[in-house]
Amino acid sequence: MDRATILEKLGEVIREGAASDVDWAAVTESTSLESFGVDSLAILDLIFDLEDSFDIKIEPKQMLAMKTAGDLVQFIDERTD
Amino acid sequence: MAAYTCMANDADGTNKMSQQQRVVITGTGIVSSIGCDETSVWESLLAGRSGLRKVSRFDASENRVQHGAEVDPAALDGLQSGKLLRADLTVRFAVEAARQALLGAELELSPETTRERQIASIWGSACGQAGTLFEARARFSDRGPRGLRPSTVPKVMSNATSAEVSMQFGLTGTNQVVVSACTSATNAIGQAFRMIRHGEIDAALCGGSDAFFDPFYFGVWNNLGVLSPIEDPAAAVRPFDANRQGTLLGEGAGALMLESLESAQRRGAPIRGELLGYGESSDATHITNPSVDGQRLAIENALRSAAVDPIEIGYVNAHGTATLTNDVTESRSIRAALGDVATDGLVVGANKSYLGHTLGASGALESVITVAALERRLAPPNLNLDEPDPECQVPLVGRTAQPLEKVVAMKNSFGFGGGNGVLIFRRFS
Repeated sequence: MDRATILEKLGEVIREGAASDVDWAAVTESTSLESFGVDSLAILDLIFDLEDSFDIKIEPKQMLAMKTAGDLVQFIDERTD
Repeated sequence: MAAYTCMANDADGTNKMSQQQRVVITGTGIVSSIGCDETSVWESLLAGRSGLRKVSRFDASENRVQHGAEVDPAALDGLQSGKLLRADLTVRFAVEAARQALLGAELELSPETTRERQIASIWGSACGQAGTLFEARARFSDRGPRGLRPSTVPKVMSNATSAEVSMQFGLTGTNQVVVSACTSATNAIGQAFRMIRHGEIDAALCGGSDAFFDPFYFGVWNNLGVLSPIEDPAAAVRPFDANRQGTLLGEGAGALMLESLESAQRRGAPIRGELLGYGESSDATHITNPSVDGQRLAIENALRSAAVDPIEIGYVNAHGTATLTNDVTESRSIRAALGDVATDGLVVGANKSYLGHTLGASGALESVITVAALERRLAPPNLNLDEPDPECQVPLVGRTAQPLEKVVAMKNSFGFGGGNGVLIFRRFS
């Protein structure tokens, strides 16, 4: 999966789950995760959804260390084929 | 006219709790199958437009009865925060009804401006977040624990409705959900009424909400055998009619903004009506069969709380489920509690032929309609009352709206489990 595909799939996961009101068309790798308005509870849902969709494992502290959509794409890219 | 005395507050307001406050309604909200605002609902009532039709949210074709009164969720799109799009419909309905009530009460809809007043958020719901719970259970059945998202717990907890309303509007008073089957909302309003009357708080946003059009929940109600099998959904729910064959389910929410009269007048709020009294009781007999003695006790307790004589009651917004047992029992309870004066200048109506039985929310939706009826001096028609049941010896509103001469009305709610709740309202002048 290339980074653009990961970003697109990330958009599907986030809009269906943790932050359905995000305008994903405007999201780039430099968009901050904070701008999604995801609170601490929704972050747990987001981790759950990402682990499920990408078949990866994410620790909450790893998630909290990520600042942008690009950080998340990078993290997923390193753990998927 | 209410006979109880409202004692004046001390100048510094320090002795409120030892004095009885008058309680008024300053705003209402409603979400239903016949409209998602009070004006639309009232127009539907007068036009005889029922919200009952074939269930569309899922395939109900394997059920004996396939009709119900659904709210179109699209009617709520764009309202409040986008975060609520993932909340259970019960919560979304309540937040919308609450928004309308706050707006009507001319209270700022900003958490920053409402949080100082410690407004309570007290709601009734019979089914809670049933749809979300059953959906999560289905995912669990399919995938085990890996199918359960972390937010399932706060989404399905029984107090999710009162909590979300308090958070949406910055209501910093108590938030709680009363669960007592079909009496839930009436009990919630009664609880709020008492807290204001006794001076513990000066305002509460209260009501009820239920949304349960889920294949599982619909199925169990079907198999209980109380749903009307009449083929035409608009003719299927016939409160107090000799040919009634049961009720149908409905969903929605109703909200009342209650305030002490002093508080409402101080801020120049619109006053829609007065809540004079509240009574409750338990049958203590059978889990589903109602009791005349139990219901009569609740009515008598409400009359005593309101300090009104039976002759003062001009309108009863009945529980009126259109089941064979309820309507006869309720008629007898009204007669027993009000005595012979029950036939003098009184009309009894029911709203479930339009709304279906909205279960734990019904007391709130029907209270909103009762307040509107008193204000408009008109009892809305009973759909489908073509041949009054001779066993129901109370003066009934027929297919034509009836003018209301008197200014006091009673709202009955009776639930499975034998819980009875009765509210008494008065037109405010």
